[in-house]
Amino acid sequence: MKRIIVCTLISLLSLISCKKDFLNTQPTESVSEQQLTDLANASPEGLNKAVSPVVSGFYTWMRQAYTSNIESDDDFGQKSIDLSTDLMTQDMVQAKSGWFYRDYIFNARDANSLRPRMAWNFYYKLIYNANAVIKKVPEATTDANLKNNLGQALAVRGLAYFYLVQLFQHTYKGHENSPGVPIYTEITLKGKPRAKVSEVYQQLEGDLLKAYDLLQGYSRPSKVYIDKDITAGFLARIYMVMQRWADAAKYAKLAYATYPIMNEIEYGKGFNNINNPEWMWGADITSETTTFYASFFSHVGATDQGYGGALQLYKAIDKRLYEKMSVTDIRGKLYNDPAKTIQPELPPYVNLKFKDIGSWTSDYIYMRASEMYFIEAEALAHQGDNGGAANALYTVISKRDPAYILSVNTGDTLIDEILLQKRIEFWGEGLTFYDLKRLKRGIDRTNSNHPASAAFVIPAEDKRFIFQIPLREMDTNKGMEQNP
Amino acid sequence: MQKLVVNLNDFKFTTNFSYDATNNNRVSWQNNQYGNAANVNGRGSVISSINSTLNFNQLLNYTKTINSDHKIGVLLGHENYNYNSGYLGGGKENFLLLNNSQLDNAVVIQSLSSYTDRYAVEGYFGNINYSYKSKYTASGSIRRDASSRFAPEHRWGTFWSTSAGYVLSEESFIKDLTFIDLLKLRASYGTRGNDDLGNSRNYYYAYQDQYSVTNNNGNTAIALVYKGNRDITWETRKDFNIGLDFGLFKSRLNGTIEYYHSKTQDLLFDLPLPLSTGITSQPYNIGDLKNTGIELGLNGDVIKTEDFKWNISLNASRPKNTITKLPEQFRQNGLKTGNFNYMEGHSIYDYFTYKYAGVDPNSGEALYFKDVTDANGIVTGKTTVKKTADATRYYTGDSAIPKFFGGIGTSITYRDFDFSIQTSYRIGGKVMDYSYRALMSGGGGDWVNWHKDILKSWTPENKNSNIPIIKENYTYGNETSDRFLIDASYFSIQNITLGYKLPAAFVKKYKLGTIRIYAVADNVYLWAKRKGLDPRQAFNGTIESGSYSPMRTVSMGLNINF
Repeated sequence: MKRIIVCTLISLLSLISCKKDFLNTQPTESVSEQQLTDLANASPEGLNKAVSPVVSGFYTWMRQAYTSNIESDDDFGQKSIDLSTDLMTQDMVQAKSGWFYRDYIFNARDANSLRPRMAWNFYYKLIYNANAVIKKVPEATTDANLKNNLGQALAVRGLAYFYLVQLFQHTYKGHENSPGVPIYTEITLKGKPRAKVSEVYQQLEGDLLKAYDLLQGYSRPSKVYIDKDITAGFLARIYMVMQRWADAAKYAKLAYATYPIMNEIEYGKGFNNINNPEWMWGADITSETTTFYASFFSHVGATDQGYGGALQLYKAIDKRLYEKMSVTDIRGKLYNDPAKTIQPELPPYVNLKFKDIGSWTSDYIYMRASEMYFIEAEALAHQGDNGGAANALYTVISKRDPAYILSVNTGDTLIDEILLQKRIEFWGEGLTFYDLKRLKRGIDRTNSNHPASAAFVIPAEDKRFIFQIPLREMDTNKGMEQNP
Repeated sequence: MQKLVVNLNDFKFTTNFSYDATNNNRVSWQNNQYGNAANVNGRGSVISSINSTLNFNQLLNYTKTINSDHKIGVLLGHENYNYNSGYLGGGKENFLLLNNSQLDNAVVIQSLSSYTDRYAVEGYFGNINYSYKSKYTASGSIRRDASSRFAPEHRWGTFWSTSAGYVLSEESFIKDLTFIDLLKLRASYGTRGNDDLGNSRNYYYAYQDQYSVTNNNGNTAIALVYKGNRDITWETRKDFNIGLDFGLFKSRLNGTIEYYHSKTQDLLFDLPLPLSTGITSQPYNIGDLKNTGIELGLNGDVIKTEDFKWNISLNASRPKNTITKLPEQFRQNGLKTGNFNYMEGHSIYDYFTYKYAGVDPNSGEALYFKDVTDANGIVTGKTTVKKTADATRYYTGDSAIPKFFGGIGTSITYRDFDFSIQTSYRIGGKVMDYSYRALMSGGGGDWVNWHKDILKSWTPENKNSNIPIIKENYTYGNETSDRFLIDASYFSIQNITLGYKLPAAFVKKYKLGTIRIYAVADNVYLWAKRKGLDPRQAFNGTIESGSYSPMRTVSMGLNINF
């Protein structure tokens, strides 16, 4: 009897302890580097299989909430940075304290505030993942899928550097030798010092041009992905900042080539659907991927159940900008009128432009065709082609205002008209702040509907228009130069 | 010469097997009438998870007594530890009925998730112990462990220890001292390993890079969420310990006094990296730490008669911590983490934060100190600024570590009644009082409560206040600084128990062993520096605002032994 017990026990022993893989564990919620490498090596299409998900990861990251690992409902990826910058102009009004109020009163730019850290971390994580793709895919690859993936990675890297250098430093012209942001073109653990603004633009322009070439043959599955048109759109944007008008106009034309301008009906639907024919690039949000209250529409939708609606942190338009719209302009209907006839229970000037499509599954907009027409118009005007500029402007405004006639303005007057119309057109879409910076303009919120604590003047190129480098970076990256 | 005969009967083979499992089921549901989920017609989730640990060891013992005075024991062993966990959860929106929170009552799938985790440790060990009469003891052991958290090439670690004991009270010259019942001197020195980086599940696979898998409109998307390190290995702790156990006056006074000196090498730490690298942190074996201290335990029967016994016990510890080595890049400025700055010569709990400089008597704004430096970067003096982003951080001279901590207890037994009180205490050390800070904001805005101290804030009529002004959207008044470091001393009455044992004669009649009725009060009373502060919760100097204290409970019960 004793023998039987001993034998059973010894065999039990061998069963459990002698298993060779006993100490080799693998995660199942996440994927380990080893598993990815094995996937890449498993078949000829393996490399693409390992790289495509990383590219898809760019797009999920753009709409991700809590990107800084802090459960702060004002962190929902790209659109939270867009909303924050819109509140740093004079065109958007937030009367009540709460989320984004510190951004609105320019109290959120400090090294130990969340916003600079959130933006810095957001774009540098995007750059890390882009570099992961760029490292794996040979530059001269001929495989169509790999070219598409490499192209998207380069486009995303260029875009990330473009946002970083605009947020953490003044504009390109006149600041070419100022400290920009550190440039990483490969995966490394060592912190780098800030590169000059001109070097950053050189890097991002190179990335975007390469991306544009690689994406020539790419037919994207949906508007979620970046293709050559979107890349052309990025190039148009950067050339405006660099004041290279001919290049800006060229790429703007290439970008909007296949996109119609939306009509009045589409315009009033709430800016919440990626299927809008004019939208070029956006995020397609579903019930599975929604981020609920940490989302753009939760903060901006005045008739919805989120912060910007039920909790009354309304986002309204500056009264003076509202009054610049003619009575026939359809865009005027997107804001509660001063007599509150459109929405009696909401204050005047509150935006009705953004409305949740339902259950927080509204889509986010990143780029639409009208913006490209505005870029073309302004770029042509700078080159002296007033007729071409007026035509480009007319293409858009004719769809916004039935009473609009082709502009006869020229030179600076025409440019001012274009810029004013652009501010009206893109209210709340995250473009105005960047225009303000490249035009070296300040803000004046006095004598309007801004609350007293926010109704101040900030001169052009004031230090408040740039974020400080986050404290976390200053503490870990020796030799990092701080902003004033 | 005595022949050493090895007799099979002196060997003993044991094997132990244990299995522990915890099953967790959770249903959560947000109604479709009011609140967060009203606009989606109700939101609910069902989660099921199971954690289990399996322990299996095989031990071979050999004991031999030689000449009835020398006792030798040898132990050889092997053990496996296996931790498994599984998780399954799903969530849906748009519920039909108000009172059915099961997922089949809803129609829009919102989330579906499952994953497993596994963590394993394997070890081989051996131990020799020797004793001579009951006077001298000595032992030595060695073990070799492997953890699944480390890469195969760094998986194994070797640890050993030795100890010796000398029962002085067995010596004749001590035996002559009748007031001493027990006097034992013991010392030990040993190493042991630690593979635990912290609470995150990522640390189960600490050496591996990990990517999350997310949904990009039907296509898989991945992104790096954890950066591993193939080079990490066991953190080793070298403990030296010397102690004296004593029993005096016919065991009416017992106690221990102990000194320990512990050196931790290759400290496992998740090192923060520059955010611009795209990698938030990476684990390393980064440095050495020293922990020393003295511990005292005393237990005395103040009164001891046949019917009545009154006992008091007390224990106290005096800890001290120093960082002895850090990697080169942190020698000059230290490694900043949270409210601390790790630097050689300092402890890991020395506060390093902004210094509050009071209130500007003219404007009421808070002031913080900032170093003034000359052209060469040498500090020449101090000035004040109005927000911490512009201020300098300093070692404040405070630590989160207490000077003393421990417990005091007393028990009284009188015939069949028993009564005891257990308390715990801490003297010294400070904690960052985030709760108070949240209640002292100067800016108002909706949804913010105030502590009554705000009534003493600066106003033009009350210019000498140390509490900054209240004004709309003023956000620099209550920034984290040494203003919110508060003494973490406390005294807590943890438990009061009163019991009564029914008379033996009565109980025997009913063929029972013992019957005892008792009443117990737990978490009876807490004294802390600020009403509402509970410093028992964190040793590392942080108490998050909004955390709960253990509740005071009173219960009664009946013990029956058969």
